[in-house]
Amino acid sequence: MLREKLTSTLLRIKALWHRRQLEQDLEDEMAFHLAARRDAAPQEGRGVQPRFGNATRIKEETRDLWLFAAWENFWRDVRYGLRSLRKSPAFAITATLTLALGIGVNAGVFAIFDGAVFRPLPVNAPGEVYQISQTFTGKFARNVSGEGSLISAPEFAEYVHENEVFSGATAFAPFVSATLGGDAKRDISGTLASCEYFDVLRIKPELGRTFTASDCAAAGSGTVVILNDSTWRSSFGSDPGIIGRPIVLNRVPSTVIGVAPPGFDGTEFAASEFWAPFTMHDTLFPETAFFNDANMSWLVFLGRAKPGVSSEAIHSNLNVIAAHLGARYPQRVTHISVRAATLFASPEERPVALGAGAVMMIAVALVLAIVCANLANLLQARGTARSREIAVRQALGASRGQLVRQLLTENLIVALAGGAIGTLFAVWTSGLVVRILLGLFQSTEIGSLRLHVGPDWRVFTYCLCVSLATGLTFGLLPALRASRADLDTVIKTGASTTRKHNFTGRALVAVQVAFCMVLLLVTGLALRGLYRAQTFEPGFDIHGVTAVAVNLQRQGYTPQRATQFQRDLRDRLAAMPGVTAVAQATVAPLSGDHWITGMKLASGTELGRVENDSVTSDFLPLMGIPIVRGRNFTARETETGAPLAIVSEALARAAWPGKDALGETFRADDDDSVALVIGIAANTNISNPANMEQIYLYRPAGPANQLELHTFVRMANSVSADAAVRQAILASDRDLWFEAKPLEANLEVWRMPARIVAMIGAVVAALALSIASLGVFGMVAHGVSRRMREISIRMAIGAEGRDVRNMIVRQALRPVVLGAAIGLAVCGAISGTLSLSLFGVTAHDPLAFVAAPAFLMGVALIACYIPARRTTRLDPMRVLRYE
Amino acid sequence: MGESQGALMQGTLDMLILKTLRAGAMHGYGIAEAIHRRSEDALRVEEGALYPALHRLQLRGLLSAKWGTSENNRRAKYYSLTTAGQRHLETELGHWNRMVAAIGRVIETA
Repeated sequence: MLREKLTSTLLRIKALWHRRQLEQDLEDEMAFHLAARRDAAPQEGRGVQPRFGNATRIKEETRDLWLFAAWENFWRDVRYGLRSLRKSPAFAITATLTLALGIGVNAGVFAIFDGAVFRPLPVNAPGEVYQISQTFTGKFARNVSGEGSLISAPEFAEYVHENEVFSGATAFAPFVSATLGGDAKRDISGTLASCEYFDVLRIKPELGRTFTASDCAAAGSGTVVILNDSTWRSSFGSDPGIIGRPIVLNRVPSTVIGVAPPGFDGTEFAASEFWAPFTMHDTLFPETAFFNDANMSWLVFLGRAKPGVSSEAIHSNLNVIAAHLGARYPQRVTHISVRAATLFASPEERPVALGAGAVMMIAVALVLAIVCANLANLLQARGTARSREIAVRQALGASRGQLVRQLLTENLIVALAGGAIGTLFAVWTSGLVVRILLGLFQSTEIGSLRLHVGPDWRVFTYCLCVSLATGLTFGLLPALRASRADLDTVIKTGASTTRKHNFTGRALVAVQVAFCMVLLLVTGLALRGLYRAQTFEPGFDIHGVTAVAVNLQRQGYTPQRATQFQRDLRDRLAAMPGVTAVAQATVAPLSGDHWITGMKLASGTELGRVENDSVTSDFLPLMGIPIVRGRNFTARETETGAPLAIVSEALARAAWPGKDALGETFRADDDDSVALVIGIAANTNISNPANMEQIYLYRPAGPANQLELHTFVRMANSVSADAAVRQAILASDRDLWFEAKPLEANLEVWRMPARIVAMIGAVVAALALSIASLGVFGMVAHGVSRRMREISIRMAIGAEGRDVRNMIVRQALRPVVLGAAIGLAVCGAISGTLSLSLFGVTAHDPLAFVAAPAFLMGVALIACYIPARRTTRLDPMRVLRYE
Repeated sequence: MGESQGALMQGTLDMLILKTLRAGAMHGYGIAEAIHRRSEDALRVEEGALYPALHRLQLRGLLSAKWGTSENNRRAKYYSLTTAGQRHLETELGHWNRMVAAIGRVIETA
């Protein structure tokens, strides 16, 4: 049986090649048989004629055996569909362009999403490379620089030594900020990597060499560095002589041994400007020397699997090693996760990336839904116009199934054509869009952001599926509808059933308007949030202050030298004319830096995750934060780093409810000292603009903090503040690299998400609104043409053009109002979630909830009004006569 | 009775065609005439049944076909049995004989 089926299929495929020959053969075979019959019985004469009809049928039946019926039918449907579309070019073009827009937007967003989350890393044979992360449960303490799922250097050594699944593995710390010395001092962001990095990723240098084992021989060894190609071009003038010359990183001279190939920026979202052996960590950052700390999370772990090894095998092998490593911490359980190496592969980052992507996809899916509703309406109209043609075809013998199949094919052609155009356009422009968007995120803390977006099998598959799904969504129902034409009525009168069509048309408009309403409202809320973010005033005095950031640790200072430096800086600045206040602190307000410690109270309770700042005595007065009870630190106390503390009102209430916090003591986790509370500061949103009731702890900036102090200067004239600061700093150290900027600039970072969402939301909402209003416009225009007769009769018996118009507008607005109401309800439900994730947005902002619907109704009104105006200029007599 | 009779006829027709071709290659008209003759005018195969059957058999790989010239110099398609066709014929003949015998036994016994 199976063999016969195979033979039959093979023979048929062969026959496809010789189509014309097949026809000729069948013709000849029949002709021969007829001739043979005639020869055998020539006297039959006329009797032979009836056979002719039969011959055709036999030929057809036989031919059908040789062809793949489904395939043939499909092509016939396609040809018919193309012909039919050619006959109504206006519809074809409108539909295709609308679809191109809807699908194109989806394609673009997916391409970006794909580039950020699913695309393998830009290295050789990326399919074999996996990112390994550790997550812990149970009772444990872990030191973290970055994310908790990163590993430490001793753990890395163990994994490499014990594993059986990797052909090579590497560990690296990305986003390492250093200060580049020399003539053009600046902050530079790079990667500290194990020496197999370039070998495992199979990247060959453009100049010089990559790391060898000797560069990573021991902690502190290997003062060498490899430059990024664009850094080499921009900061070192593409000088090939750079190989062998030293550059200064954090005051440590490092020899440049190579330049990475152009286009290689590392494996992270931000470009890495240099690569240095990870053993150099303690040399570059002597004050935070944790290279040998086995319990420190700071390295990304990538491994290249041996050929044929699956991710499950890697998982089980590494689990064994992890258990062995965890033996020292019996209450801690280590979970290994093995993920294909892409951007944002760590357990902390991936959910966020997926979540953000999902939200964007939903937004553009709504736009596509509106497009589908629009098209369904359009097809509805077209269906009634073609009812005659359909009826005739049915009379000629077409079955309902055949008709539906053909109409559906026609719609799918439009969907695929629109999808193809939209996809091509999206892929072509997505690179540009991404560059623009990423440009908004620029910061000096990390390198420039890079996202590789481009054509990819995933993108094309997605677009194909979306196009087909879209075609089915808007095309199936109209196809079913249209093929149900009642033969007799249609052919005789040319009319068609209108009631059901009416209802569907109105329902579709309501759906479109509902989606539109949701998008408009969300945008409205985001815009309001943006407005509030822009005009936001923090609860402390942020204006007129210049903030100076200078990282002494990275520039080779010891704590003693730093103490001297800071004192000299304070004194010099205070002595300058125009300076009204000078203070220092380890954390700049609203900077996004959070120093966290735990507090153990005398009563035994523990408060975890308390934000804190180590400050000089002038800090609270400079920031305008009043002390409500107790007193401020004295200058002497901050110089010696006395074990005292000032708590915010919220912290006082949380730690010692009902009691007076003054005089209470607690033990801080980060320095293990016991501190005495001497003052209570007013609540303010010093760390998070959305939170006025911040639990915050202020302690004196003692000798331990001198390397990392930010300096704040309040001057009457802020322009000269920069010059004053420069003078004061360079007087102590001519070679120092520092950054000075107004403190208010920190607010910008908080405004960024609201700005992005508002911008994207505005674009998407505008798109949705135009498509939806076109839909409403079309529906009303079509309704007017269809009801010409009825309208003219009304006018003939005395109705005014104006009244008829108003009636039409009123009727058209009903589904719009319904849709808007539904959209409002949905938005009311989800806006709570929105306000939590965006700064400045309140859940039920009255202005947004009033303005957005009003705007939508206004546009809808215009869309209804314009086509309805036709009725006022109607001559009823002429219309009736023509009908 | 009508439908099942048609199905029975289809299988039987295939068997008759295969049996006829065991004697040698033949074109469609020749096969129809041979069956007509051998059955002593009892069975007349309609072209509407014959050609679809022939082409189906060819597609199943039980027959192979070649174009040649007939006795009166016309282009004709000659069918012949393949090895698979021969095997199939043997099986079908076996079935047929067994079925005829079985029916015979039922009819014989009063």
